[in-house]
Order: sequence, then C-alpha cells, then structure tokens
Amino acid sequence: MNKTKTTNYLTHVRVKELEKELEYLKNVKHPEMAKLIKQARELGGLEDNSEYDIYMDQQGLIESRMRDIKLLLTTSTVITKNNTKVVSLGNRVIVEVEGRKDTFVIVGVDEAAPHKGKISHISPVGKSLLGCKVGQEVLVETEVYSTIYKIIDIENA
Amino acid sequence: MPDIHFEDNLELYKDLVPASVKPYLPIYKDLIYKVAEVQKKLLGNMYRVTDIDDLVKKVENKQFKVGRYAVIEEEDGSYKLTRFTDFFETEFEQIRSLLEKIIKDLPEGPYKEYMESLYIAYGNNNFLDPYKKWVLLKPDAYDVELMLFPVEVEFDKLFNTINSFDASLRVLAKEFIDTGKESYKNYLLGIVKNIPRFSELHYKVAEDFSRLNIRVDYSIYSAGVHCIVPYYSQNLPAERNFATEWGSKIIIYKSTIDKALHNGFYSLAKNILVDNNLTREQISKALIHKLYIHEIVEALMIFAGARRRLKSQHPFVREFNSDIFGINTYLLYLLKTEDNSKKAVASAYTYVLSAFNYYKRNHTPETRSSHYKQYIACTNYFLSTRSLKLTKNNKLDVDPKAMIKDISELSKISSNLLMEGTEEQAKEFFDKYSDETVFKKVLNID
Repeated sequence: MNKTKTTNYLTHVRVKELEKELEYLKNVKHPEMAKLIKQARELGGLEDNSEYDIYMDQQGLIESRMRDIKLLLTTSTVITKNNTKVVSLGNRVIVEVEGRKDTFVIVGVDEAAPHKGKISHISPVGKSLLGCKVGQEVLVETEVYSTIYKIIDIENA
Repeated sequence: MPDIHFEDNLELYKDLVPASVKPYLPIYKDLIYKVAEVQKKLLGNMYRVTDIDDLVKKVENKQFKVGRYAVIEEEDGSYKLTRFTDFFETEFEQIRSLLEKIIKDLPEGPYKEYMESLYIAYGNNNFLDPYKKWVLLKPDAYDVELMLFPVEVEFDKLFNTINSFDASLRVLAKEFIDTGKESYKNYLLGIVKNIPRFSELHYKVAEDFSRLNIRVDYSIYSAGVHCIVPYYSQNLPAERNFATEWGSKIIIYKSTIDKALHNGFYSLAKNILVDNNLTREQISKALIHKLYIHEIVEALMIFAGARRRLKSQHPFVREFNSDIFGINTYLLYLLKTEDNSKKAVASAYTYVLSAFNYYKRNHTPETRSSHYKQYIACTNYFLSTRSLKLTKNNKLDVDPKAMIKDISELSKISSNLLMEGTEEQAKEFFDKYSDETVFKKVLNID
C-alpha cells in the first residue's frame, strides 16, 4: 500500500481485481474467520488460548486489507481511455535502450510490478516517457544514471 | 602440487544444522576431504603423457577423443582413456563406503535419490546422472545439501574444460529466503526480464522461472584445490546443452560473504575510498545483488561458439561480461523502480571494492582466477575516464555518476566480445588496461 500523497491511478483490470478481492474477503474469508474465532472462544477462556489469538490476528489482517482496498478504490483515479499518440498511463510502450528491446505497461504506483512488465508512472522511466511520441528519443535521468530510451511503439494495454 | 583448501565453518553455523543431520557430520566431513584429495591428485595427473603437443595435435585432428570422466594415459606409444573409477579405484571405494553410511538412514525423497545416484556413479563412472539430479534438487528437498561430483571448471588451458571435483555441505540461509519471499522472487524475475534474450535457456526461464534454481546458503564444509574456493557464488552447469536441458542452479554462499565483510571488505571501503557513506548493510546487500546478477547473466548468456572464438580469453571475457553487463542490467532495472539512486551508487562502489579486495587476496599470479583481468581492466578504464581518481595520498575518489556511465559503455564492450569477439580482440582490450600500479599503490603492495 502506497502511503505517499501521490495521486494513484488504476487500470480497469486492476479495479476489477480489487473489487473481486474485496468481495471474497468480505463474503468468504471474514465470515470464515469469525466462525473460527467463535469456536475457539467456546472451547476455553480467552487467557492462554493460542488458537483464539492466532485467529484474531488473522482477522485483523483481513480487515486491514479490506480497509486498504476500499481506500484505494475510493481515492484512485481510474484510467478511462488510452491515447496511443503519446505515452499515457495504461499504455504498453515498446522501447529500445542501450541496444536492448523492452516492453512494459505504465501503471499507477499500487499496480506497479516491474517483474511483470508493469512500471510505475513515478519511476524514472515512467515519468520521463509520459507524453512522448513514437520515434522520440527520451533522456531518462536520475541523480546518478542517465540513458536514452527510444520509443518504438505505443499500444493500448 | 596445489594445496587443498578445506573450510570448516561448523562452529559458526552449528545451530543451523538440524538434529537429524548432526550425527552424520563427521562422515560428511570425511567425504568432502576425500573428494578434495581426489581433485588434488587429478589436477596434477590429468594428462599422463610424454609429448603434450602431440596429444593436443591428435585431439585437434580428431584422432583422439578426450573423455569426460577419464584421465589420459600412454600405453605402447598410443593414448588411452582411463576412467576415473579405475584411476581412483581405492579412493572411490572409500567414498562409496562413506556415502552408504549416510544413505541408509535417509528418508525417501529426491535427496535420497540424488545420494543414491552419487553412490552408483562412484562405482560406474556415470557422474552425469547425479549432476543432473543435483541441478534439479530444490532448496526444500532436504535439511542440508551435499555437492560431491566432477563439474566443468574452465581453468584448463589445454582443452578448455576439464572435470574438476567440487565438494561442499551446505544449509539453506532460511532467514534470507523467508524474509519477503515474494519480493525476493519478484526482484530476481525483474532482473531476468531486463536481460535481452539470447539463449534458449533464457526463453525457457521466461516461461518457467523455476528453471533457475536459486538458493542462498551457509557452507558448513567445503573443499577444493583451486584458488576461488571457498566460492562467493556459483552457477552450474557451465555447458550450454546441459543448461538448456536441465536449467541452471545458482548458489550464493552467504557464509563467504559474511566472512569477507567480517575480514576486511567493509574496512577496506573505509581505508581506500576518499568518500564513502555507505553502511555495512548497504555494501552487504549490494554484494549479494552483484553475485545474484553475475550468476544469472552467466547462466543465461552462454553463446554457441564463444569458447571456440575466444579461446584462451573466453573465461576472462565471460567473467567480465557477467559482472559488468550484469551490473548494467541491474541499473536499468532500477530505473523502473522508485527507490533507486542509493542502490545504484552502492553497486558502483561495490564493484570497485570487489576489484581491490580481489587484488589484495590474489596479487600473486598463481592465485588468480579468471576474474582478475576484468577487475584490472575496468579499474584502469575508470581511471582513464576519470570516473575513478587516485589521490595524492593513494586513496580512491569515485564519481558514481560518471562510473555508472562507464559501466554502461563497458557493458557494450563486454557483450560484443562475448557475442562476436575474437581471442585477439579480447586480448587487445585486456592488454590495453592491464597496468596494476594503482592496485599496488592503494593497497601498499610492493
């Protein structure tokens, strides 16, 4: 969960995933855990009842995740349309960098997973490429690294 | 004759050894020492011939075929292969007897199957079977892992590869794997994704990441006769066709890293660098990352024909590329993440520290492995562009931004050499940057 004040963006796919996860937690996992807590409480007192403690902890985690998802869904901006004339959030971008071809989708902070080819719009690469066109050579620069990314193609993700 | 390096870390890591394994530790220790003795005998006796030039000629003209697990002997004016099982008959019998004592009490499963295949191999000379089983053995297969077979090590100048026995007993550094298991895997996947796909293995790994069988270990016992034992990290198999078929196994030796940090790697930073604000933890992490990436790049960038083109320079170019192309891959990966500059700087510093730490430990030619040329060459390259400066009081002044730019340039050189370079081109590059003066001045070596 991103705790910064940066605006977060979600793709439609991610919104659907989060809604599905929330439904599952609310309708399946939470009631399941509540049942286990009730059973553990009935088995003995609350003191030295390790099962009860474990289930309570797990319920806490479920509730915390539900809160996070709700917050994400209510505070994030959903990417509604993809413009392929310039690099925009939600686009798949094909680039060439230092002789290597690379493909990734630019997404919001909470959806970023570089290992899955999803990079955040506030990462050095994401930030620099936003708004650029096909054929453009873009300088991606950080405090210590600078290199040129050439945009080969922009697609709808 | 080379000396046996035997590393016994039991006192350091005895609490990590499961109770089920403890009674067998003396047997494991004997086994490892016995295999190191075999290796020692092998290195001096691989080719028992009177005219080595004639042998080379006959091998090159395909009049005589070199065997994988055999030594070459002369008989009645011609050459013959003697299988290891015959050449080391007595030693192998002892090894089999020790293995038997461990195997009989092992629970059924992949580790027992592997150990049984080892037992068979020490009798029938088919070491490929346990080798394959070992590559596929997953970190959770058993409480410890034994390595005890001949592998391809590239120090042999005659036929480029020989079978050198490697031996170690290790326990998994569970705390390293368990902490943020998912993010650890994702980080490695991110690195793999950022390496251009050159090899069949890489395409297969992209489909199934478990084909890179990665583990971080503490070594309890290890032994060998070449100078890089104990290892920092390893990837096997080295042969392209085996790696393509089986996948690649990567081991990071956390015990060696911890020892290096304890024995002066970090204090070296304080002593030789003008400005270094990196913490011990940052250097430790950067060193582990460097090793991960080095081994992943080495495993995935095995090119057909590279050995033939680069000949004597192949091991040097391979290590050069694994380090430099690897670091550059990591730096490009960092550009896609949000927390990056400090990690990038730590990478550059760690490369310089590794170079000087290596030279400090291996400044005499007989102790050098295939790593030394790249460390000397890259350091001189950095000096030539002034991303690294030698101060009046013989300290090193690093300009991280300029050095990172150099690493990008050097990675083009290293990958071009590996993919299409010749022996002459590689030699020319290493010779151009072969001056060792800066190392001697900074480390105060005569």
